Amino acid sequence: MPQIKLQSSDGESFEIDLEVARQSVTIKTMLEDLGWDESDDDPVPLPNVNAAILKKVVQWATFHKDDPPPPEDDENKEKRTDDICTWDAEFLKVDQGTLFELILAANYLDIKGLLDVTCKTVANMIKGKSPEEIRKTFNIKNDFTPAEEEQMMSCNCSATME
Amino acid sequence: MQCLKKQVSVSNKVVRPKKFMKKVASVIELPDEITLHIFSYLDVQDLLIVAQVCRSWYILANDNSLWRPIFETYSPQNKDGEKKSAEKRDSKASSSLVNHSSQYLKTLCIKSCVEFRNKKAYRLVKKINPYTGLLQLKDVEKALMSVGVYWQLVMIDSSGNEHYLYSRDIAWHLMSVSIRWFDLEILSLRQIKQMKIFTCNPLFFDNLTGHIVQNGPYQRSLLQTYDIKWSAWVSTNKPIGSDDMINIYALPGGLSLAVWKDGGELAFICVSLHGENLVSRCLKGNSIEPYIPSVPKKMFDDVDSAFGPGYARFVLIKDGQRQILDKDLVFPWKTDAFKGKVKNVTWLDVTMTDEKNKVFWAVSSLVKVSSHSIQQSFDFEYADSCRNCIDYTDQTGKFHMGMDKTDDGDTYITDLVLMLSLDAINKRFGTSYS
Repeated sequence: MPQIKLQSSDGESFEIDLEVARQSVTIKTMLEDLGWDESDDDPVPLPNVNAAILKKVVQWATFHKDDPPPPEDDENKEKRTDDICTWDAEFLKVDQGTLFELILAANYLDIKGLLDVTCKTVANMIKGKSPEEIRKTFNIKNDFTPAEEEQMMSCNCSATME
Repeated sequence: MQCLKKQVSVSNKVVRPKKFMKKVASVIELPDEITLHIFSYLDVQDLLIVAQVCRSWYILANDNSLWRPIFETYSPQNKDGEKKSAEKRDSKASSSLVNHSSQYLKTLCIKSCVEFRNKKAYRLVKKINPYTGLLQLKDVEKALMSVGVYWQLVMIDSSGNEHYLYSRDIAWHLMSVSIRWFDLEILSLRQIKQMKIFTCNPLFFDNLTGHIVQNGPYQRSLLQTYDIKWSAWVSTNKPIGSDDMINIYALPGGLSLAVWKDGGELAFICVSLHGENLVSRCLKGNSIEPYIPSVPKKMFDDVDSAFGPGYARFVLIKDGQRQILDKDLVFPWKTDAFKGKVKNVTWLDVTMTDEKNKVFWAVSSLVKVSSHSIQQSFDFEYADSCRNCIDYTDQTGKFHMGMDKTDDGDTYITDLVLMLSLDAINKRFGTSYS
């Protein structure tokens, strides 16, 4: 099986299966644009992903290399968040910083499956909480003025729920 | 939210990945398109909640891209024409000035849902009861039930925390509705600083069946706010009635509190709401302010000042379900574990209308029936040695009713006095009687 070398932002090289790497649309396009072939030994530079995160991404892509391509988004279809597989759930038991960096890496590398599952994980951290609980979970500062908060409450558009 | 609208800068176009990624420590630092992607997994309730977290999320959570699917699923007037015109306005907005329209679909969606709901409710109330001058309350009941209205009591403690209770029983009368809340988790009276009564009004209805969408978002309409200064209040006021287990206190504004004799904690809370403008009060207030009816036009004063304007009045005394006069006045109650009957306490509803049949004075409250020894009278023979009286006073007026029993055991109202305060009259009619 052909191998490809990826280089992280901090200079570390990873040698992985080409099929695994091609799950990233960004890498796939890059290789096509560069006219890459198997004899090429130059590493593909990924200046936006550090070694720790790239290692996780490779781990995820390796596990999912035989997955069917994810379906196109249908705006009107209700999106589920309870369909995260056990392996992914276990894989994503990481601190928030790592989770957000994984999201950014998935976005940059254009790996739809990884982007979806990481975003779903964050969505699940939001669901069913009050504004204050969400602020606590993510350490977000409430930057509304009291007047704005009141306005928001009274505004007929802000249907609320406990 | 004018101040926030100006900062809106999110469009629906996809932002290219930034060339160099910063280390992201907080969810807030994620690029907008990623936050929108995360939000796309949230349902309506959570979207409404995340909009209240901080400014940047307020802007993102109201984005049209998130609300378009909701609008298309739930907006009742979502005929093709309407949809297209909304889309058109939307696309026009994103091509030129995004700022003021990025939450256009959210506003439109909620507005059309509210209109649909209110129309559905108001359709069921048309008939005016000729005696009370009020809408038929059995129609009002049907109308509010048809749109899934339910009643919420919020108790606010001294640290500002809110505790919610949902009504356990509701009784509809000719002129009022009384609602009761009881729960084992009820707060201690000393902790309660304020109570607020709301209706919760579901927002989404199924487009095909017209049924309420279960667990969907709802709006709240504030009906009453009561500031509770219990220790001060209870030191100057006596219970209006009691039985073996409870004392009942009637506070101003139709609020009654029942307190266990053993321990002094709340047994239940009861509120009586007069039927005047009830549908609008339930559906058209918001969570900060109650519905404010349009001020009645000051009437041209062509009234002989010696007699004053003409009024009609309607008085009803009742014990929960039935209108009563032929039996003892009793207030029955029950909670999960106990029940009882408090003698000589009853509901009093008074509706006084002016000569244009507009409500002038509306009272609905629990009142005490007090016994007085009777004075000598020449035109009526009494079986009892005492007579029963009901007295009620508020800012608008004073009510007094005397009842006597005949030999046959029938009760008759033998005197009825309604007095209106000059202030209230002058305010209403723009007069200056003194």
